Amino acid sequence: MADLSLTQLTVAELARRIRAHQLSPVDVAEAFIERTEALEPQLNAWITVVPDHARASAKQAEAEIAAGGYKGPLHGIPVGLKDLFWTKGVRTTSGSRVTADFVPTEDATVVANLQEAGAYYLGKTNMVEYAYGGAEHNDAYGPPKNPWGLSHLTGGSSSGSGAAVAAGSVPIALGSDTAGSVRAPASLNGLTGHKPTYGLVSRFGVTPLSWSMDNVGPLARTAEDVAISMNVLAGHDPRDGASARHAKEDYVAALRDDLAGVRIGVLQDDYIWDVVVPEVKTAFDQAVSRLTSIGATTEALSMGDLEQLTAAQFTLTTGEANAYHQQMIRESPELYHPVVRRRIEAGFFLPAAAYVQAQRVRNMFADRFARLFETFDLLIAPTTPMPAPEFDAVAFRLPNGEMPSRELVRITRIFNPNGLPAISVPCGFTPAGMPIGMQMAGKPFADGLVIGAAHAYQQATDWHKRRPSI
Amino acid sequence: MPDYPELTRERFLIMAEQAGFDPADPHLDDLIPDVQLALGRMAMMFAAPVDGYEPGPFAPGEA
Repeated sequence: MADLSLTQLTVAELARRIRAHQLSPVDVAEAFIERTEALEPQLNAWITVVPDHARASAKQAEAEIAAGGYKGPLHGIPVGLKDLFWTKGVRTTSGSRVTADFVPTEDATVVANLQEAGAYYLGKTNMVEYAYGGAEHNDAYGPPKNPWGLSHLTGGSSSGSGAAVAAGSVPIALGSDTAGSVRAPASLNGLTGHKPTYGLVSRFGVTPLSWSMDNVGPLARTAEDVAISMNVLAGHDPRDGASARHAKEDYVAALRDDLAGVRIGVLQDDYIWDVVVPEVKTAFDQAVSRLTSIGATTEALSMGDLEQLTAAQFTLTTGEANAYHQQMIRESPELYHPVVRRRIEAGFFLPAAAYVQAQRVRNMFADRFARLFETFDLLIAPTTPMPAPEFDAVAFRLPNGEMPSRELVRITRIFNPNGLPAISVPCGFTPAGMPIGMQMAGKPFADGLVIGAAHAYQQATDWHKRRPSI
Repeated sequence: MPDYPELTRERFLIMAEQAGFDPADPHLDDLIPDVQLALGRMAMMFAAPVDGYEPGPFAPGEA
């Protein structure tokens, strides 16, 4: 019987014990494997679990550390990988029947980086098919359940990564974020999730949704764990055409205990607040007060025209996803989930001028954001307009009349077209015990400030310390 | 949302055939709302004040 209390620890806590030789990586692996096997029938967080690979990797880590070869805080740590990251010799379905049998011959760069740092993967997490959606559009593998309430969605598209970390199946997982697919499941599962600056983390070996907006990011319990992983994930990759040549940073060193001198803009646009339910507004308002109590100055502002920005985001995604799927969807349309199929097929009807106009709108907003970041260091808003909806809440409508599942990434998507770094942190819970999230965004390559601010907030709050009772 | 020529079923079927769909495919009845949504968003974008902005993608490059 493994020590399952280990599964409630953060990466930082596990790493401190491993480094001090107080904890065996093999015992860590056994705890997370046992937890995963016990929970999976309820959660459905994984598409593929590889316990033998995990055990062998943990044994190797233990030998390396015993021999004095400690590599850093990810050494001997299990991770979850959204099932669109290529894993050499292990199938990578991208959550679809279409590519159910795809077995990559090499690892994604981020997977290789994690393994180089001594981490290993426990398996491939469930996801919305081809990452195309904020809800659970996945017929082939079924939707994951939210550990905070099994009748609730996890949000997507990194749905299984959110469920797996929240449940203690792994202490950290990777997701991808094109419109909010890291931040939304982080918010709905009580986690900390970071969308890095576009180009900061390699996309090589990651099934694309929208090349010009796809980002790889971690979901973890704390901003500290996000920083630990970003130290390994960030870096130039010549195999990714959009990879930035950004100087290596130490994101752990950027962690801070207060927000003295940090200027925060609180977004007030109707586009956001017309859909936010009251319990999210209450939690967010309290979070803003807490940010000021630790030294930040806050000021309300409106971006304006966010409908145009998000229309551009939709158009870019529709066009790029259609281009990627052209051949597969013509050959095997019936293998796609009906919702995902229609979203991709809609791209057949967009004229080229629409894509060009979306790029112009994107550049217009790049200027607007640049001007705002002359005045503010961070912009903040709720992560999702509502806590995790229930699977059968089809009749429920948001204040603007929309269905919740369509709007889960409504607020997150505003930071994707311009590649801004944005993090989601837990900022409260509903009376029914479901998590609520707040997101903070910065200018390009201000990831250190964004993660550091999230850490400062978590030093003043304990929302991130709560665990589901599952 | 700004005005945009309505996507009638007839117009949609012409566009669908040009895109390679069989106009008799009943699946097109499911698809038309998604196409209307996409074209509506397109119309919203074309209302944006983008004078002076060229269509370059965001590229962080050196930083």
